[in-house]
Amino acid sequence: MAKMNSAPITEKELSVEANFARRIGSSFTCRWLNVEWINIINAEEICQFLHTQFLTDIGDLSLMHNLLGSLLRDSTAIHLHDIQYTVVGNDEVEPSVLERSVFPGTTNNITSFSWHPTHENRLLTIAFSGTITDYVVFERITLNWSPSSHVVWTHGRRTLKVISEKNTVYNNLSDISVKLKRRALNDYGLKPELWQNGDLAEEEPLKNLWHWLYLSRSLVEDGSMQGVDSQLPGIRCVLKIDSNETEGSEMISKPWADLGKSVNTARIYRSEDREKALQLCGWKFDKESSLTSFLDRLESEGFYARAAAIAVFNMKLRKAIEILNRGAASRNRQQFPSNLNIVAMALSGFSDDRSSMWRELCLASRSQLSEPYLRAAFAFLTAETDNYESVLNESGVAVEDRVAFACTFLSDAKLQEYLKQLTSRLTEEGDLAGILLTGTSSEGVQLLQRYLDVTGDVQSVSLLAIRVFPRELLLDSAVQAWITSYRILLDAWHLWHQRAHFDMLLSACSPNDKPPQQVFVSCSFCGKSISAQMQGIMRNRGAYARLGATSQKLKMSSCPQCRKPLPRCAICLVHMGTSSGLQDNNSTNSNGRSAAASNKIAEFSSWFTWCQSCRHGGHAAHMTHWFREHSECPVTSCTCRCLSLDAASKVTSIITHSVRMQQ
Amino acid sequence: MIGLAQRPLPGNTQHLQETDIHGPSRIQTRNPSKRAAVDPAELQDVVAGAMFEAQSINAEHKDLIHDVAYDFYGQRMATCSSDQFVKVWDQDEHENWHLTASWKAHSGSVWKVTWAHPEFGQVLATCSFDRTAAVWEEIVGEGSVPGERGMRHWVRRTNLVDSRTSVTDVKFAPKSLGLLLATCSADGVVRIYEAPDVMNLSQWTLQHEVSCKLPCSCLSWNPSFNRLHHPVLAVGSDDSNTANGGKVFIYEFSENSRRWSKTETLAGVTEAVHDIAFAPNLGRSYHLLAIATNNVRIVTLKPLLDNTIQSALTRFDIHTVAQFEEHNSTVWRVCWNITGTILASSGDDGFVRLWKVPTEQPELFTFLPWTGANTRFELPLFLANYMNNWKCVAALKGDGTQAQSEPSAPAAPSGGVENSNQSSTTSRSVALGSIQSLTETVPGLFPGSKGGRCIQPTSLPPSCADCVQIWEPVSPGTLWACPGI
Repeated sequence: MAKMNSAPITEKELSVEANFARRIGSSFTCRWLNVEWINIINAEEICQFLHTQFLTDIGDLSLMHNLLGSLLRDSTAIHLHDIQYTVVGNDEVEPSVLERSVFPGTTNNITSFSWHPTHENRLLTIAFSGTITDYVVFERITLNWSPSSHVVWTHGRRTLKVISEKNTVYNNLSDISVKLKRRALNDYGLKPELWQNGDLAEEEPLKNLWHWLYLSRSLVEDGSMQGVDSQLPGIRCVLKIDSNETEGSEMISKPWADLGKSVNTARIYRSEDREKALQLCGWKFDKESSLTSFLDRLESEGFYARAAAIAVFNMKLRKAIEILNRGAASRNRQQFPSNLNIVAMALSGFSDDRSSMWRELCLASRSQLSEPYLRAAFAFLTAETDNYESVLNESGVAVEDRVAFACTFLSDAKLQEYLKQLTSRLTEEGDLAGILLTGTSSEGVQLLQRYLDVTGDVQSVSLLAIRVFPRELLLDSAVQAWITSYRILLDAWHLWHQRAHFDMLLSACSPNDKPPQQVFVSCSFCGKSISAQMQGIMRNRGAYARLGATSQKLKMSSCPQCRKPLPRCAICLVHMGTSSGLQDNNSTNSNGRSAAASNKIAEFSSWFTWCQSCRHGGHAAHMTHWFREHSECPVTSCTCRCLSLDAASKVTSIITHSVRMQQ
Repeated sequence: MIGLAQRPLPGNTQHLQETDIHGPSRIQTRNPSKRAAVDPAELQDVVAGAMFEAQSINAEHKDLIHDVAYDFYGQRMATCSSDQFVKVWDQDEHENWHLTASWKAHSGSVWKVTWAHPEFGQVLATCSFDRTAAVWEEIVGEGSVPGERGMRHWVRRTNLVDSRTSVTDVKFAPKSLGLLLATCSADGVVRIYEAPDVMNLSQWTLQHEVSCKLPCSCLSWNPSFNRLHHPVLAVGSDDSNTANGGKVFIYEFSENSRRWSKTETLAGVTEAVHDIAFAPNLGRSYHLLAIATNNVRIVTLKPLLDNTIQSALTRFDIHTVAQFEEHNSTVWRVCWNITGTILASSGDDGFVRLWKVPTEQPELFTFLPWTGANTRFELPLFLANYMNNWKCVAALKGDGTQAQSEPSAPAAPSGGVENSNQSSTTSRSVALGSIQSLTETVPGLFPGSKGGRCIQPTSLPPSCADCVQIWEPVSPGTLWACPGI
């Protein structure tokens, strides 16, 4: 302590120091005090420093927690010095200090502070302005987030806190990774029919997209539409917008069917390409009955407003009114804030007179309708000549309906302009409905990339890519990154089966790069592959049909090359490949399903398995039975612990073992 | 003269006596509307209502835990501590954690622990204040004693002793780069080690040594799988001198020159950086980097891919998309969920806060109506709008309770919020009670006669001359208030 005299210590501080030394009662810490205190005092700016209380349960401590607080002049922070002891060999290295600053939250400079005498880590500060703050210094919290959706953090010095997706707090986060995992467990994206995948996705846009892709593919397959380069065509492709070779569309004036004294007509445009486009939008109403059935379907799903609006767009005013009346009568009324009866009444007064009072009033009150489809319908009815902007920009109306509307009522030039705008906007937003316009082209890839950027849903984009996008586009580095990321995600979640199915779909996209055989059984004498021989024989079975006439399975117990016997099973000591009559009987006597399965492939219990390390092995059933009780190889004098080699399967048994050890 | 009476008092009588001695003064709670929430009964209700069950694990460490790491599957966990021990925890089928290994790994505080990809085996790396980093492998016991047969234990495969100062962080590279290990140390050197033979973990060669001039505190590999992206490493420095410029450096490996070189310095981050974390990339076209400094920041790095000059280093389009002051204090750690969509941060306010872009954003983007004319849409606009919309979605108190949901404003875009709101909305979580006396000068604290401290204001407001100063703890350990007001 003698050294301390060299530093300017006031009486007040010395009294604190005396207090400190009394509490410590440990020569070890006092020795540190010598060194450290001098260091701090040399920093000369210190106006006062105090120490913490030790942890209450001193008896448990083997290492000291030493926290020294110091306050610099003109500062809003209190500096905490956490003393670290390092021992190298037997030598105690000079203790080092970890510093951190805490800001008790005053804007004025702190003039003094004091530690709480009994509460750990609690202090009181007083600022120049006179503000007194009671502050708890928290231990540094470290945290981590596991792939299986657990968040762990430290609380205090010794406690870990874990929350998982089972906690309500976590649920409220609506973490997309939980959703992705749930979907993957349901084989999302792996279902054979595209629309089935849509039903597994809970989001409306994804659902619509998968359904639309199903529609589009079936249209391509039945020949009514042609995809370019094995793509599924989008509207832009069908209308040949990008190739600038559009044939002119024919303009037709269509009368309002339900207005008896038809004065005016609406101008609509027709061409072969537009028909196809309408078909893609689901608006294939070449027959009266197809429109009716489409509307009936919408009604049965409760979309009265949409059905009515589509009826209006198809100039079936009477039908629209009927739909609205039915909707008003239906039990789902509270779903629609606007009273459909009133809307129907307003609709029935439609007149296409440009200066009528009806039109004027409709224009005024249209904005008060909350249902976007009804707004669009009135916007259409009150539109100035061929100016349908308020319909086309009604974002509550589904993209396919807006596009179909545009394909019906817009002239070629305007249509082209509108579709270009819409595509760029939807691509920008990452709105999956934009796939309707782009199709499965490279623009579609861009759109999916944007969707991924916004949502993080790597699952849907990679599954969409391998399911519907042409092979050339899969080679794009961005798409490859999606696929790799998704596969790693599945691996991390232990969803290896799903990953394997995903890989199978992926390799189905490029049948030429078949992955090479990775493992084969070779004869231990001549080293030649046995399985290759087997396959060869199977392939030429036709020629040697009489050899395998009695049994479906071709068995062999010796190497087809050198005629040396195959190794024996370490348990039953029978050569591998010998048919065991017992099991054959079993399989035929059991139910038909397992018999059918054994026709294709031998039952797993009779498969040959072996240890990767000591190369001993035997029938799978025998081996699993052996390792239920043993951890060592069954072969005499082989001490290989075959069972312990695979870490992934061992965690639980280790735990039971160590628990037993503790007891 | 002002002192603070801040020790548990035996009873109110003595309390009154003490305060009488030093005369009356007027005590005011600073922000009555906010402080009202600290009414004890109410406080209890709030806490009870917001309680949730966070599983608690006794870590059995004897000192502060510095790092918790999950393995690739999230089924094993490693912790390291100032007690110089590393512990490994395994999860059983009921999601309970069991301590399966514990050993003294270093002769100083162990700062960080990290798992290698499981295809390299069960491998851990640690770094410590004792100037070393170590690689550990779990092996199956070779002993012939029946009890030990098949038992696993961890052996030190290598000790990396190149650093002359404390090694502050250690991270394995993404597995696509092979078995690579990066360390950084307090003397500002980043070292990249490689195990040329993945079967032999005792041989590591020091491949690269890069100096960043400032003391390093943390590093993070970019986990992108895009083959057009070069290996990228971000390094943070906890140098507290703001005059030394940016504290986050982006290093990139160039295949042609076989060298790591600094491509970017985030000039906007001049405070000490305590942690950085790249989000799992997941095929996004940009990288997300979270930075823990005196606030939480999220930075996007969009590689400007130019196929014509592949050899050259990638330029990044860098934007700070979020900056949160809610911790209102030093932020220690940041980490991402597996999809990189939610960020968790922890700070000196004792809170764990979670941040994300809400998926439900009804009318966030108002687009220009289509006019039929050639309206230009600025493409980056959407993403910029979107990305700037990070919000606090949960604030969890360190003890495993959830704080009241706070209506948090959208994060400020780059260069936004200053520290002006220091003691606003969120300070209530920090300062459990805050008391203001109307005195102008405070001479300091001094030891009171009974070992406690007391308050004596120098001047009194005339309106409160007859207010009897009563200090009492409203509820144990929360707030001292003067009920005389």
